[in-house]
This record gives sequence, structure tokens and C-alpha cells, in this order.
Amino acid sequence: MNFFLSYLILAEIFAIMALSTNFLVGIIGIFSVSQAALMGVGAYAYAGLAMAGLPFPIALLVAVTLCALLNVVTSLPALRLAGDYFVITSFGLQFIATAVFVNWVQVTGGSTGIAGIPAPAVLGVSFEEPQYFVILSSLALGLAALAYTLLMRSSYGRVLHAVRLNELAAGAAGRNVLKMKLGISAVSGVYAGLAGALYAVFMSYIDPSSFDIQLSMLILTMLVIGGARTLAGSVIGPFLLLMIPQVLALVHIPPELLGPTRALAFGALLVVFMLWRPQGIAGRRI
Amino acid sequence: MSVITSDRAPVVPAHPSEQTQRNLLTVEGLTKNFGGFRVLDATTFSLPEGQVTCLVGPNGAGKTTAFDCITGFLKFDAGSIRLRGDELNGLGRGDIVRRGIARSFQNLRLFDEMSVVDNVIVCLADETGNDPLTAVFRPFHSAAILRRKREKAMTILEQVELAHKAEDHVTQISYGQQKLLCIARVLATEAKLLLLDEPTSGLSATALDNMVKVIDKLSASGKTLLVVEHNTRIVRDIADRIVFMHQGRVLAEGDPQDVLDRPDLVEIYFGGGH
Repeated sequence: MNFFLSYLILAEIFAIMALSTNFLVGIIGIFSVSQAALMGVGAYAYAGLAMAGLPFPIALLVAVTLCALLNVVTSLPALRLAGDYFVITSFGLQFIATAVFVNWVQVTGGSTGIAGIPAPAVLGVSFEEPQYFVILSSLALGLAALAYTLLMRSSYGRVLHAVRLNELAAGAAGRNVLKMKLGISAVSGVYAGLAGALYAVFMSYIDPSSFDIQLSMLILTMLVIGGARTLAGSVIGPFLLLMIPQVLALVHIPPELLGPTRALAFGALLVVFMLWRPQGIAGRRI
Repeated sequence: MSVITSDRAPVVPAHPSEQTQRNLLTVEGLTKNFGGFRVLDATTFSLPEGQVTCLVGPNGAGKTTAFDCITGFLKFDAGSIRLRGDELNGLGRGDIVRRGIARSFQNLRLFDEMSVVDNVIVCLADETGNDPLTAVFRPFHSAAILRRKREKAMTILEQVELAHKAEDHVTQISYGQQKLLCIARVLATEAKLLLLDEPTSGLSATALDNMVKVIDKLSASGKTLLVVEHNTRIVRDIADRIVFMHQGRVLAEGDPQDVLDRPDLVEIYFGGGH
């Protein structure tokens, strides 16, 4: 039971993360490869504040706000660059974040990370147990999905799509393209902060390897395979990709080959989808 | 009568009536270089309010570059552009649209994964609801804003006779209808001055007639138009005035009949610009 619940919770957390990435990569066309770094900031911020004794809602709010602000501040110079240059810049941001996670020992615990991150408790019920935490993660994903739908159905969502489809024409109509990009970067940061905080609570332990470039690639792969620019795609991708390690665990593969086999499966899926279904399972072409 | 300019001297309006007509836009000494190549060479002209001015000239005359400079898509090297006397130099594209100048593009630049009506909604001058907080935290208000914008967009689509295609995907409508949609998007900005870049190019005879009717309707509604147009028959039909450009300079400015009947300009226009 716990095995399935753990899978469900992680898939829900990464679905929020895939939505965060979807806003940038799918909706407005900013190809970011540093989403794990942002998730890490959310996780570390929440962990530090919760360890200092702040209640869950306050620590969560601060983590989410910090990620939103950080995503805007780091995006500001990079958004002035054309697409390919932005990708390289976001690679740099990912490496900077990892370096900070490893070296800012007083705050992040360095390579050993932070252990014993407290879970919230409401009316004496601790959300540490998966059967309770799944309520929290499901509620979070539900709210994230609702907000995504409201955003996409509004006139704001239409302008976001317009900016991706033709930035020049959107500018010619008087839309402030930079402001739109910064706004959606903030929204993406909120989602990443939420996912990071939930991840820290659920795992109760985080270290720099939890939020490295490989995780950024995994999140992108989830989005590509599930399908960009749709809610369904952002949910299907994480549920599908996180199932692969569970399936492999059921097959009799030597433990030392589990890691490489999993990486091989992710890579092969990515290539296959790019060749035969670039829009993913339920998405639209990026 | 037309006024032929000598080399780089500023152009004087042709008709005495034009001198008293209030100019909406004044372009003076506009110069733009691309590397060592001068595309606009002290270009000078003005657009009287409420009139349709056609910008004509052979390919490479600098017409689209002038459009780009006026609308803030290109920075220019020298000169000035004034809207009702207010300097526009240094303003961004969005500011220029908000001041009242909007443009269409030669290559349409439609939002091709969106519906016809959404293409117009995105371009509306009304920016309320274009923020994430309203969309998420005031969903009913956001929905009401969208309904209001849709109604406004439908009114604009009716003006260009595209209301019946409102829900169609832009790739499902004809090229002529796509061109009309470009006009609808420009109208959505509520700009006083509309710059239309080759609105009739590539149109069938029927679509062309529709476009001319729409331009006439816009003119009758009091809009000021600057239109890049190659078809001289259309120019004679729609233009109140002509600005004739060649190699980045304004060679003549004035009445369409006078300018288009000048043998030297006809030779430049149809004779390959030699």
C-alpha cells in the first residue's frame, strides 16, 4: 500500500513541477533547463524554515514567494536573449544552484543535506504518513490544476499563447512581451516552490543530488512525453515516467544495473517520442 | 499638383489645402543605415489627419523600413517622428501603439494556432484581465472581462465582415479573410493611425474588392491610414494622397493622379528603378 501511495504522491508532486515547466516551455516558449534548481530552492527554503520552527503554511508561503521572485530576477537578464542563448543561460543557473546547494553548508547542510524535515500536523494528525500526505499532495495538485485551467481560459492565457506564437505581432498589438514573460516566470516559480516544499516534507531528507541537472532533464522528459501545453500532458508524463522504476523493480534485474537500465529507458522513450510523436501523448507540438 | 523634391530637401505639401490640414504624423529627415547601405535617406513626409496616404515606390524604396521606424520596430540613425507634435523617438513598440499608431505586416504574422476571434481579443487596447492574479483569484470577474472582450472583438469582426468566421481556426479561413483579420487586429488596438503593409497583395479579384471596401469604410470612419500599395489602380481608388519613395528618399508627395501620371516617376516605378 505504502509502495503505491509513495508512487502516487511523488507523481503528484512532479505533476506540479511539470506544470511549472509547462508554463515556460509549453505556453510561452521559454526553454528552461534549470527547473530542478528552482524546485531545490523551494525545498531548501521550506526545510530551513520548518527546521527553525515556522508553521507549515508560513514556511510554504515563504518558499513559494522566494521561488517566484528568484525566477523573475534570474530570468530578467536572460529573457533579453534569443532562444538558444536562453537555454545555455539556464544551464548556467542550474550549475550555479547546485554549487550553492553543495557549498553553502550553514544553510543547506552541504553534501550531507538536511535530514528530519518536519511534516505538518493538523488536529493531531501528522502528514508524515503517506495515507495522510496523499491528501495534501492531491489537494495541492488539484489547486494547481484548477489555477492552470483558469489561467489558460482567461484573456491572460490567450496573450501568453500569442507571445509564443508570434512575439513580434504581440508586441505590435501593444502587448508588453517582457512583462508577460516575467509574469509567467513568477507563476512558474510559485509552482516549483510548492513542488519543492512538498517534496522536502514527503522525503524528510534533501541533498544537492536531489535537484541536479539530471532531475531538470527528467522533468523536461516528463513534459515532452506527457505532452506540452495541456493539463493532461503535464499529469500523464510524471505518472508514466515514475512508473518505469517501479516496473523495473518488479523485473529481476541485478541491482547494479537498475540505474543504467532506468536511464536507458528514459532516453529511449525520449528518442522514440521525438521521432514518432513529438507532441507527446496528450500535448501539442512545442 | 505634385511636388518633386530636389535631392534631400524636405518635401513641401502639394496642395494649399493640405498646409491647413492638421498633420497627425510628421516624419522629418528620417535616416536609417544597414551597415554601409543607406535605406532611408532623410525621408520626410507628413500624414494629414483623416486621410488615406499611399506609400508607393519600387521594391527597395524603403517603404517597409519607414513602417518599421515609425512603429518602433527599428531604431533609426537620424531624424524625427512626431505624432501630433509629440516626439516618438526612443519609445518602445508598446508605447507607440498606446500613443495611437498600429501596423499590419506584409507576411501577416497571425497567431496561427488560435481562432479568428482570439486573434482579435489578444490585440484589444483594453488590457484589463491580462494578469495572472485576476485570472486565478477573481475567476468570475476574469470570465466577465473575457465575455466583454469577445463582444468587442465580434463588433470589430463585423466591421471587416468576418464575424461569421469568428470561431474558425485562422488556418481554416481563406488568404483574403486572413488579410481582413490583419485589419481587424489593427483596429482592435484603437489606434488613430493605421499602417497597412500591402493589404491587397496576393488577393483574388473578389477579395481585393472586399479589402478596398473595408479601407474605404475605415477612411469614412475618420481613421488616418498609411498604406503600402503596389497596385496603381488600387492606389487611385483608395488614396487621398501619395508619398512616392525611391532609394530611401521621398521624390514626390501629393495628389494621386498628379504623382502617378508623372512620366519620370512612372519610369522609376515600372522601369526597374533606374
